[in-house]
Amino acid sequence: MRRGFILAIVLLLGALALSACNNNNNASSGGGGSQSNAGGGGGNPLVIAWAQWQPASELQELCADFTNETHIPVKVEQIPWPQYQDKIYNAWSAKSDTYDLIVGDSQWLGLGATQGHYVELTDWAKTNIKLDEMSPAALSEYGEYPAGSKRYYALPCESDGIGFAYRRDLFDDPTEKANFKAKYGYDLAPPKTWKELRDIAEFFTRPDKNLYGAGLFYSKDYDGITMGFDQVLWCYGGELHDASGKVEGVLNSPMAVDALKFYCQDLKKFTPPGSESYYFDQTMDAYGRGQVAMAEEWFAFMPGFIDPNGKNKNYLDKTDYFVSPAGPAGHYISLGGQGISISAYSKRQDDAKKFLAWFESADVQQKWAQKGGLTANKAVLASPQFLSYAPYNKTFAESQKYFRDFYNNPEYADLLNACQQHFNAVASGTEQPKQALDALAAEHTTILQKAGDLKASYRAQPDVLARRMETVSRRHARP
Amino acid sequence: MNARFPHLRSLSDRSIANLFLLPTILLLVGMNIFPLIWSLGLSFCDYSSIGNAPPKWIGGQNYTDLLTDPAINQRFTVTAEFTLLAVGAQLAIGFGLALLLNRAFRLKGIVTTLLLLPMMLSPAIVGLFWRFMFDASNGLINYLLQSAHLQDPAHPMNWLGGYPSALYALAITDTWMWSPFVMLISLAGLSAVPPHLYEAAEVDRASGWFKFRYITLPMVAPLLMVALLFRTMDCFKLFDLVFVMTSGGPGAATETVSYKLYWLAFPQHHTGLACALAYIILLVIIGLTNLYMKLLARVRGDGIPDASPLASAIAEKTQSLPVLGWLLSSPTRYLLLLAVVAFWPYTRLLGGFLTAHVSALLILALLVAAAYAFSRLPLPLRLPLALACLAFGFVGGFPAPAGVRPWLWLIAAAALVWLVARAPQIVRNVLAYAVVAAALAITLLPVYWIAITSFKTPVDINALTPKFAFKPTLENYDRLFYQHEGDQITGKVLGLNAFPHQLGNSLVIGILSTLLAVAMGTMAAYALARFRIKAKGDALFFILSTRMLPAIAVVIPIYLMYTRLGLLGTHLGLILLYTVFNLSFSTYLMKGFFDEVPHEYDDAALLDGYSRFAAFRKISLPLAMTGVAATAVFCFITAWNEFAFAQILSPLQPLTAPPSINALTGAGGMDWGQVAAGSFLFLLPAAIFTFLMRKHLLRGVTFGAIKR
Repeated sequence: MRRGFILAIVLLLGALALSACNNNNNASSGGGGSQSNAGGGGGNPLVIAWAQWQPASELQELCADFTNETHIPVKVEQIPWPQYQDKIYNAWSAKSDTYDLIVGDSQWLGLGATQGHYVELTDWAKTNIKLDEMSPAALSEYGEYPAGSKRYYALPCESDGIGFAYRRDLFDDPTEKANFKAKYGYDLAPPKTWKELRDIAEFFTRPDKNLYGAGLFYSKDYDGITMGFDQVLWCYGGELHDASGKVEGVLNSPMAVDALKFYCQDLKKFTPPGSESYYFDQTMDAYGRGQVAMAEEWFAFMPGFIDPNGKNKNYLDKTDYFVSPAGPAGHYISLGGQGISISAYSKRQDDAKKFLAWFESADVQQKWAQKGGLTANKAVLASPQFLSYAPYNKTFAESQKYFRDFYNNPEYADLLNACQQHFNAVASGTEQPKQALDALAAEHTTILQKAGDLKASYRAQPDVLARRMETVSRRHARP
Repeated sequence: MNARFPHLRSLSDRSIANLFLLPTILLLVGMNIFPLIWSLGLSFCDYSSIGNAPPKWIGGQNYTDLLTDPAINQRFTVTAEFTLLAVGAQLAIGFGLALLLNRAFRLKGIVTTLLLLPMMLSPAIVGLFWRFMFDASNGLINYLLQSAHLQDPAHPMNWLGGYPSALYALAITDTWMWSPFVMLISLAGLSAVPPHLYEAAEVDRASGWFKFRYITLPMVAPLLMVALLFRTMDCFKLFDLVFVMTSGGPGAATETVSYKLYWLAFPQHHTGLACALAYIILLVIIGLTNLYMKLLARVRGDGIPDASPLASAIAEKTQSLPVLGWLLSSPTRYLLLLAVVAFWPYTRLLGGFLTAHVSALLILALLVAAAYAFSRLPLPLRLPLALACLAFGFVGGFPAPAGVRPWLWLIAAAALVWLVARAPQIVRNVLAYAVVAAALAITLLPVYWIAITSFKTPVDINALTPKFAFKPTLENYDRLFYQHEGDQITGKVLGLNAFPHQLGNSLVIGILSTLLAVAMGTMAAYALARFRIKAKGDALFFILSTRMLPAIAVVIPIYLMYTRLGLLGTHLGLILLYTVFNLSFSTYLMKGFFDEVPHEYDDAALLDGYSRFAAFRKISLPLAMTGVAATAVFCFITAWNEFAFAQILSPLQPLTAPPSINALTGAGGMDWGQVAAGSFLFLLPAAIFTFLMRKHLLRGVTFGAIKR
């Protein structure tokens, strides 16, 4: 009996050892999508985690200079967008030292800061980084938690926001122009307000020709429809919460219901069939196959519009861009983009800091912008060269002052998930705007109450928000 | 062997039994029982794996929260709706096809094998290319419907973006994949019906319906019950398709319980709450399984092929559970308990489901009624009336307004049913072949579409009208395998991409886990088949029950365990997991094969002076070698196709191919060209194995429950 047992154990261990050996062999070769880009220099590369897109490839190219200067190789690990947040959260939950630096979405800041996943940079940055060279809004949005505290957990990396691409061949067509004028009484031009965007979208919607007005964000994936809708909500005078942090009666206010009706019911009619699942990739697909006249897009994805081998091949020279429109209660644009943080689980925090200091310096930021990066450096943004780096950079520069973000507290993921479900349900016609917002307000209240965070500090300055709420509700009280 | 390992010779039967059985039992305890106990503990705690706080005991709070949450109730309802739709369609289509195929014709072997292809593919990959085909704007399905004038091009069906169409899309995909499974099992049942029964009925001039109702159906029913059991359990656990096709959308309309559990546990990291939900799901599944076992026991009669050793084993064992002793002692009490356990989540089902689907059910009932009415009319009236209805229904249906159209088609269909039933044998034969041909076309079309898509340029793939004629290119494969400078086709090659490595990982992990599972399973099976072991029944039941255990119930503790052990994202981690995954399967399958080798052979060898180990190695093992090969192929395919665990347990970089194909996104989102190329390459091995293993498919897919 005992002999048998021991033999069994030995066999089992032997088999495991065998597979473990194999594991080691493979682990070295089975790495990420861009390991061959890891650059020269000896030793293990410093690993930066980011999403898989053009800016990450640009950053990888930029890092060659850093490696030349310091002999520290850098590898930008590109994670596919749909899994971006999950992977980073998993790395945190596993306390993994795989990533040394994390280019994390602006909304993750609360979790990263309060749960100790990000290294606090406040004191180090005071002496090593010229914080005054950066746009204060960007520095606060991407790096400061809680808002107004002057405590930094990240530094701006890729500024981003929502913009629009449109088809010049349609907008400049004389017949279309004349017909539009006859129907709506004003000239066909890139829309300045959501109302105009709606008219233009309606005008170009011709299902029999498989042409629709716009490709908009309605997707349930990640933060799709919430980013698409939030800016409309704010433009129409709605809010996620008031100055005291109260949600009930604010998120489901009549203004918010109107905004949701407008975005998910009225505008939705002028988007292609199946647009409930549209996010940045599908809007570009639809645009590239000539199915929509206008396409909503994150600026950082816009290189896709000018890629000669990409999906927009047929409309390369017919594409122009406009600023996401304003609404009756103001002009707001959903903020995207990421700050760059040092992982608390990294074993190479000194090298990481060295990299941060290098990356945020003015001349590197200039090169970063030249490669296509959307910088937060004030001087670079103001420089005339910046506008020439990409055809949409002018629109980006104009849009920047309207940027505004969703929650970024530790409960943000739960809050976002509830938004995604209800907004998407309205867009697909399975829920009504009023019921959806009532349910959502209740859910948000529960989530925030559970976290004891109902009065915690939020992104917007309380006094500013209070003034705004007052004016908006006064305006709305009028018939 | 004995010369090299002299000590093996002296081993007693008892030692051999322990040596053969213990590794299996230990591994199963370590990877199943221990995680279950851990997660039971966590289910009473407030714990998030992403926070830095230790678990906090909160008693039954998680359970209270979940059981009072209407959203959870809603997830169960959706799961039940899906299960009803998909399993119903699979039983009808699978059994129908089996009836049509149950005749001798040329190419029968190859046609049957081709029809079986879908169920051997990876659900995650299948879901991906159906999602591609379901696209509302430029998907193949809408295009075909429009070409057939079944759909107005200005109002295309919004498959995945609407409800209930998204649910139907999921059910259609699952049906495409799993009808062959029901077909395979039904064919086994049909071929086992003794022909003399039909001959006797023929002598008595019994009608076709009579023969079907009183001979075919009763004989096949037990096997259909097995199919029903397997499919219901699988549908109840549906995760992969939802994950890749709808992400639970629109809204939360297609979020199944498994998807909800995944969502709670991983993106949201509400670990304690998710553990509680896993336990609730586990209870419901145990309840459902038992309910089916009871039904199965009632349907089973004498002289029917041994439908399910697994059923009897479980039924027997649950009867003797001390905890439920009192409840189990009376059949009524027992059934009542099962019904409560299994159906409490569906309290809203009656309202929601019936209103949504009542029209479909009504139409079906009317169809049957109309066909019956035809058969009651005086003979001279029937034929002309049927023909008239047919013409009126189909021809008149197209120009008619949308509201009237289904009714016209209903009339036409009823006429058609009657006409077919009355048609001469030759016409019916031709029709049968036509239906089989159509089924074959539907089976192969998605595979064909993915194959040709992989040879299209991105612009051709994104074209508004799906293209059948195009200039083929290898660009997608090129981009899939090689990294180019500047991410372009023309740029110089910088090196290999991650995908070839991941394909290699899939291969290595698949092969190693198969070797382990088959080796351990074969030894355990030999011990169970040959030796008198105390508590053998218990050991068998234990091994089996780990397989019935839904994977989702253990994934959270295994994730936490792997986090602590540093096994996340490693080859070893997945190899261990897949070995455990396949171990009970290979043990059970191999026990069946060893049982077929008469133990007298071993006894004779022992008399001749062979040691027990030599008898195993020289006599039994060679005779069961076909079984070993078949088992190995099934284990390999299971590991090769697996998606959910691979996705969850390699959280930073997809280790194997299925999750990496799902993540093939370029700068502009889903890169369907690369997805198609990756899928096509990935499907090839499974397709080849389907052909090689066609003789053993039945035993493999039913867990050795059905032998031919």
